[in-house]
Amino acid sequence: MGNRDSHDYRPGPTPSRDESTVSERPKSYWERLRAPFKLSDGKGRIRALLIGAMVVFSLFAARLVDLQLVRGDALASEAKGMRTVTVAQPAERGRIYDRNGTPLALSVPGRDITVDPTLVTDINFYARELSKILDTKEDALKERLKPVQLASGPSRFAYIARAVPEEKWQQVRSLMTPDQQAAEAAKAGSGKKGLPGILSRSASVRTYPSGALGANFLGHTNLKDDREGGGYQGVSGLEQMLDNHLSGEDGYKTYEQSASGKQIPTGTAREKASQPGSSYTLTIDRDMQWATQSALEKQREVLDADSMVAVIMEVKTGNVLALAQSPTDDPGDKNRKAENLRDLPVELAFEPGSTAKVITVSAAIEEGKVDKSTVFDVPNRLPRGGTNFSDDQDHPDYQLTTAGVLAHSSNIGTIQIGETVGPEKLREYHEKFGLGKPSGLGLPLENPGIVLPLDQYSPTSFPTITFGQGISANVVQMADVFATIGNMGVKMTPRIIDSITRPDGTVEQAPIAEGERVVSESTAKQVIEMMEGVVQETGTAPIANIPGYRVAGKTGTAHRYDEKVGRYNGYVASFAGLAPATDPQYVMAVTTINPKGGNHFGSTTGGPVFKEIMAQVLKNERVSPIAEPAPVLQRHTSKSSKGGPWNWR
Amino acid sequence: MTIQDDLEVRDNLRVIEMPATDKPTIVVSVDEPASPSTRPDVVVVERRPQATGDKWNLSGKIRENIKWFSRIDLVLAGAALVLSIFGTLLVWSATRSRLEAAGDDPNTFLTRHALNIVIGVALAIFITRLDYRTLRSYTPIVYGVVMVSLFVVLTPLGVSQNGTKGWLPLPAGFTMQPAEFAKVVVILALAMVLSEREVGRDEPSTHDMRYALAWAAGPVALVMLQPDLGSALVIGSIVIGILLAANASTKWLLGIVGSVFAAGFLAVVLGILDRYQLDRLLTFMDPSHDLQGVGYNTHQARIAIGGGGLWGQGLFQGNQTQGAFVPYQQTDFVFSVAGEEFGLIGAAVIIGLLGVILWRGIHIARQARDPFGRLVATGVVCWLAFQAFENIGMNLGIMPVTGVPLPFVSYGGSSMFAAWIAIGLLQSVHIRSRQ
Repeated sequence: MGNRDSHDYRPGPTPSRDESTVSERPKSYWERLRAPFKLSDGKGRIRALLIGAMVVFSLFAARLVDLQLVRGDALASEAKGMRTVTVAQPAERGRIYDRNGTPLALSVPGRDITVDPTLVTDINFYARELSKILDTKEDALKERLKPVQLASGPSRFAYIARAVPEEKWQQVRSLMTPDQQAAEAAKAGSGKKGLPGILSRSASVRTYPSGALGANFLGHTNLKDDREGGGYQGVSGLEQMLDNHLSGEDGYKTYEQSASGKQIPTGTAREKASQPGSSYTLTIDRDMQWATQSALEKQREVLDADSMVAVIMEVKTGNVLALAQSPTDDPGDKNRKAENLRDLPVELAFEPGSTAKVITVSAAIEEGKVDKSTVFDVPNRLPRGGTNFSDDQDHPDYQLTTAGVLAHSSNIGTIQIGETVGPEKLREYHEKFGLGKPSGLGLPLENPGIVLPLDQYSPTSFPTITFGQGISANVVQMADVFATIGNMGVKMTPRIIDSITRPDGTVEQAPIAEGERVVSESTAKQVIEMMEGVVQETGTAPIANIPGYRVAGKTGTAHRYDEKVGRYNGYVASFAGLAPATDPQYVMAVTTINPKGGNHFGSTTGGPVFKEIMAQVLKNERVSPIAEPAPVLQRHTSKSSKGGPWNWR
Repeated sequence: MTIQDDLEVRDNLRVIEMPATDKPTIVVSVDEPASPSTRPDVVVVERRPQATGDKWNLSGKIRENIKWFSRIDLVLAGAALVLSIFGTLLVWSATRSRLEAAGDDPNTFLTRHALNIVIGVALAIFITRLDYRTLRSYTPIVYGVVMVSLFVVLTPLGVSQNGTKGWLPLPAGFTMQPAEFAKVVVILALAMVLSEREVGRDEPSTHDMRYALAWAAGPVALVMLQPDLGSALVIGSIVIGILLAANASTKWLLGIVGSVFAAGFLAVVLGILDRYQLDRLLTFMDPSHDLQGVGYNTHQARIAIGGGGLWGQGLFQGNQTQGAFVPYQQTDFVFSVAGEEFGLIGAAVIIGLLGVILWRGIHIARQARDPFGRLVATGVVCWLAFQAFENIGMNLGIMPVTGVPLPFVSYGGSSMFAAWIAIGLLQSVHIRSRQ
């Protein structure tokens, strides 16, 4: 069709019709004739492309079969292993109550703050903000925020802080990154709060609502790590002693978790519920404990002493109402001192000094060797075992009754009383009174003191032991000696646990062990009568007398063996007393270790504390005052009854 | 009045379409020359039915649309549509638990993805209706627009993700990824340059090759600057494919492939490659390399696929997927969702549907009525094929991780639009093919 020369097919509206003239010279690229190419060109290559694609697809198919059918199970179980986590479900730790049901230790709901390090955007920013809330150093937090490479992938879990109170978590939760803050500002409140990757899980927080109260015997706990089941482990005091029962049975939960740490609802899960721990009710009275601790704290400062310990017991049951020390730990204090974590009333044994004279006198009376009016010649010096023994102060040779020996705390008189009994018998009485073996409270790390075997006696051992040097005991044992006298010669085992409440609500009373008779009732009565003389005006401790009541007690001042320097250095001053003396109900022993303020007498160190606290106890327990004064026993024979220039303490 | 007097001759007689008028219209098209030595001498004259009276010619338009619709490749369209719907499920499954965990609406990605598909299909219909030969004349303009956007994305206006500065923020929280559209314009530009050649030659001249490579070099260079190695490789595969179909000499092809390898080797040696790109390649060569870092993604994806077994764990039941262990699972690693939740069957369905698309694409390329259509179709096939190979390959751990989306399946507006534009181009070639 067309009027064109079919060979002159040229582009453009002005086709050159004469090809021959143009073809004279070599044409440039732009002048050369261009046209669509033949469609047969390259067709084979497209077919090759198709074949190539098929080859690749069959490769994929082979790989899929390999992954999903051949190795499918292996990969699936690898995946499951990677996803499966076992999280401990710590049991709720049991509570510890005082005898009136006031909780001294309990677990409250709190939070473990955790982190998925792979989601953390800015370690430095996180550490700075978290350290403001959590009282943890920034560097320590940075370590916890850093991702850790494990064999199964980057670790997606670490603890930031464990067992923090709920309100701390609320503070952490409201933290925002600068980006989030900007979003918050821009959108006026619709921005999301919470640092990405910072998560929490519920935890229980062991708390001691009364702070330092009873911290010494309550002890403390450490958090176990996850492999050990999480939760708490008691490491001292009652928390350690009762750990098996308090901690209950931890449960666990095994489940498949998502990359963000949440449980995958469709995954498999196994769970074992935790079994809460039992709770304990103590014989401790919170108010008495508190009063005792406060009094010790004050008195220790006045005396500039290393430490003071005190125990209050019910004479008739052995129930410990207060077990106090100063200085003491305070679980709520940020700057807790490791040295305050000891439970001194049981961990500290000391030479009781003159308070042990009560044992010597009781033994002699029980054995029928002496009575309260037996008269002893008391010279200024008494040679025994190559040593000249003396009394606290020099005095002319004079005569004292047994009551006088005790009231004036004469070493020389006591040696002579002891000699009427003999070392073997006296040692038996020490053991019967409970020295040298644990008090029975069961608290960990108790130091039962030392009652030397006879074959280890040196020539001076026996005389010194009669007046309380060369044996040692802790303050609970010492109080128990007085409680035994107060209980008319029957020794009760000290107890601190009154009952246990099982998780199912059943209450089991801790048994009261049957008492053991150590001395007869009449012996006990005589000794009590003599001890009343100690707090009378002319005794060694009038300072401990409680107006309106009759009190019996004994002072003691021993040289303190200082383990640090390996010799005697300073004093251990004690006072132990019973009230009311007419029908003893309560015993309290107070011991001061190394008072450095110049005052080192048992009477003036422990006496005021005894007086203050025991008065309070008697009032609280509604013990009726007695108007009738204590009888005054004869202490001196007539020739020295007028006293002398010496000043008895 | 002769025919040619009335013809508006444009563009070497090859643009045939006449503006629609009420008058009787004659449409002329030139067919392929019967033999290499002859000029195109067959002129097909079609007489379009004229409408009378009806101002809007409504019935005519409906008829025309029905006719047009009846000529599209339904298998191709169906495969792409089913793949897209399947992908929607996978994207939904991959994102819902993550969004829920973050406290967001778990259906956010579902709705956005569905919207992307709707827009994509609309684009495909538009491109199909548009004669690809018309598109050819607009190629320089479209090419220019995309080049400008590739420039702009490198300026501070562009947004970075995972070390690649490849996104332009759009209003309403949407973003655009110009590299996806670069693939389209490289196809159009190369087809434009290579669809005709000096008369009498049976392969492109050196000049043609230079021009073709020059057209391709710009987008590749700008994409590499982002740096987006994956998209650059896709464009490279498009170039190779179109050169193959344009019957470029083997010498040239080997030269190009060889120099790409040499450049890659130099880049590694001279340390031009970014650390992450090197890491990915190292991981590919040694799958146990850095299992926690770079190897983590592929390892998790493989585990997910392996956990699927034959039938899969069921929609929303895949523990790796619902546990959000596989990073970028709605985009680069969406295939692993299919592998875990629909098992070997689901994975095979995806591969099968992609295979159908490629098979139809190659068929359309072979049946194209002119070289431009053939080159466009071939380019599209190479693009989709390479991208599918690369994506599925890296999911299966047999290709290095380069971060390309799985066409029609992965979440992402630009990639979804580009994939459906590809379908539009294939359909456009198909309805004007020789059959």
